[in-house]
Amino acid sequence: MQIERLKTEVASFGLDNLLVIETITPQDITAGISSGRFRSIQRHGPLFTARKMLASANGSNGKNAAVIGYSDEDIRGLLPYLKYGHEMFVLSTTMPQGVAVDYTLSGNSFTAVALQPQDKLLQLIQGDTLFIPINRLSEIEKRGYSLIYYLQREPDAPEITDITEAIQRVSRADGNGKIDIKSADLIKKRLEKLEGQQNSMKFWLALILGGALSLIYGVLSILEFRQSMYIAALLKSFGVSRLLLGLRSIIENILIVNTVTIGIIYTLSQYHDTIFAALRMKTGVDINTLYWGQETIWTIMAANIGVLISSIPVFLALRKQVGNILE
Amino acid sequence: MLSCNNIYYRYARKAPWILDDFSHDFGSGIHLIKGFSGCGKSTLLRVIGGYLKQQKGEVSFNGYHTNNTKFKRKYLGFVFQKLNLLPLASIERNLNLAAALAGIPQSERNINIDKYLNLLGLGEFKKRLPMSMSGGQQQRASIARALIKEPKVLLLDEPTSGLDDLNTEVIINVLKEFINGGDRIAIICTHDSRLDNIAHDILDFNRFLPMEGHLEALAGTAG
Repeated sequence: MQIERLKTEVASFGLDNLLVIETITPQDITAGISSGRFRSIQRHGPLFTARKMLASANGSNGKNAAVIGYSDEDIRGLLPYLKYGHEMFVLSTTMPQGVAVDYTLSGNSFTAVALQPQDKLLQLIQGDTLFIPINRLSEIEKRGYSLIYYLQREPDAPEITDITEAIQRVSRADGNGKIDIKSADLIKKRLEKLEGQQNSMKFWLALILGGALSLIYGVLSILEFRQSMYIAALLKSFGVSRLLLGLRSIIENILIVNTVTIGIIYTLSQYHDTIFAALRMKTGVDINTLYWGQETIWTIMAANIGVLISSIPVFLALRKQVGNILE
Repeated sequence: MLSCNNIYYRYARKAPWILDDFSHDFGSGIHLIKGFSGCGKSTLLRVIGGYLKQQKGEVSFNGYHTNNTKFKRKYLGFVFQKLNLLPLASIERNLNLAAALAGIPQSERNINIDKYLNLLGLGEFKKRLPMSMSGGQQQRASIARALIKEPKVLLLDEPTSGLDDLNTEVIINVLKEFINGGDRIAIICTHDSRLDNIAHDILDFNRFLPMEGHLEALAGTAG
């Protein structure tokens, strides 16, 4: 499920986009540590910057809105919204464009105009988000904030990996501030790691399942054979050859094991959704890939190897002389 | 003619020989092997039947080694002491299987099944499972199974032990009829003196037993 989510995230985030969130604490502000140290990445493409405050505004529509402050340096990225002439605006997917909403924030009142967020900002905001010039938020700013850098890399700019590395190097060199970086590249790396882990897990699961099945079938076959060993001895006493009895045992077990294994997998694939729903687990995976992939072949192979291994005691028992079994 | 030539058999490498250089020729007719318990009668029967492989020597019947599968399939009938009827198969199915493995056609099998079950007084038990029958009936069914393919060599291990006179008489009559049917050999391991009268040859196996004197002493029968 996590893999599917990450794949969707990669697709929606875009391969050439980079999000850096720098956390500025009140101590950083008091110490005079300057924020905005990564603004220089704007030479690699359009950069959206904004400060997400540690506060929320109460709206006259009954909804709270996250608060983002912007300075003159941030205006370039906000031009698509500022062009309507309102310095305070609320980005909302639920409110009609142009409607005015009153907000209260730390005892101050603001009136903002609702605007629809453009695609690229959709993934940065959750719910209604109020944009206010930073000079009106000087008291709230002191509590600390998250400085958001959202870069859309230009085709001729360095790779996202290189930009990410440069940011991390600067952050390490400064030795202050906490940064979180999100890029499709990083998500892809996590995805690859997860896929690797999943493949390895699938392999071991298939091996364990195959091993367990082969053990069960092996034990059953030994028990079954012990129970009917005297029948085999009786057949040998009638002149049936050892080879024929051994082959019959192998063929019979192979038929049983493969029918049961494939039957179980088929049944699970047919009732996957029902079983997962009953267990309150998410469904929506590709059944064909999940049940009829490489690991199914491993499982069947392991089960058949189990049959062959379990046939060893059968052949050893067949070597016993009839006169030592039948009295 | 069934020939045993210089047979040696023991159950474990360092154990004493149960059969120690045993040689004997069994011609047509009924042969009784008699002797104390543990003297090796049943072992000899199993060696003759090819169910135990002798360490040395040779057992042959008309050019076949008796451990040959064709000999077992076509020419050998064996009645085990513990009968060993297939528990989940009817008496008819037990007989049918033995005959089918001998390669007897279905039509002939059906005739033989009826013939031997009737001879042994089991005509009405054809569809019954062995477990639903008495010990005597099971014993007779087991003999019927050995006779169904009309073998050239019939080996019987204590076929009448624990049976009443009536059951024994039925078996004796069947054995007589079997031997009268042609060039056939029946070898019977038994303690039962009721069979002495039908024997063409009685093999006293005690003479092959090194411990004979001790056993006789234990039984209180020594000189």
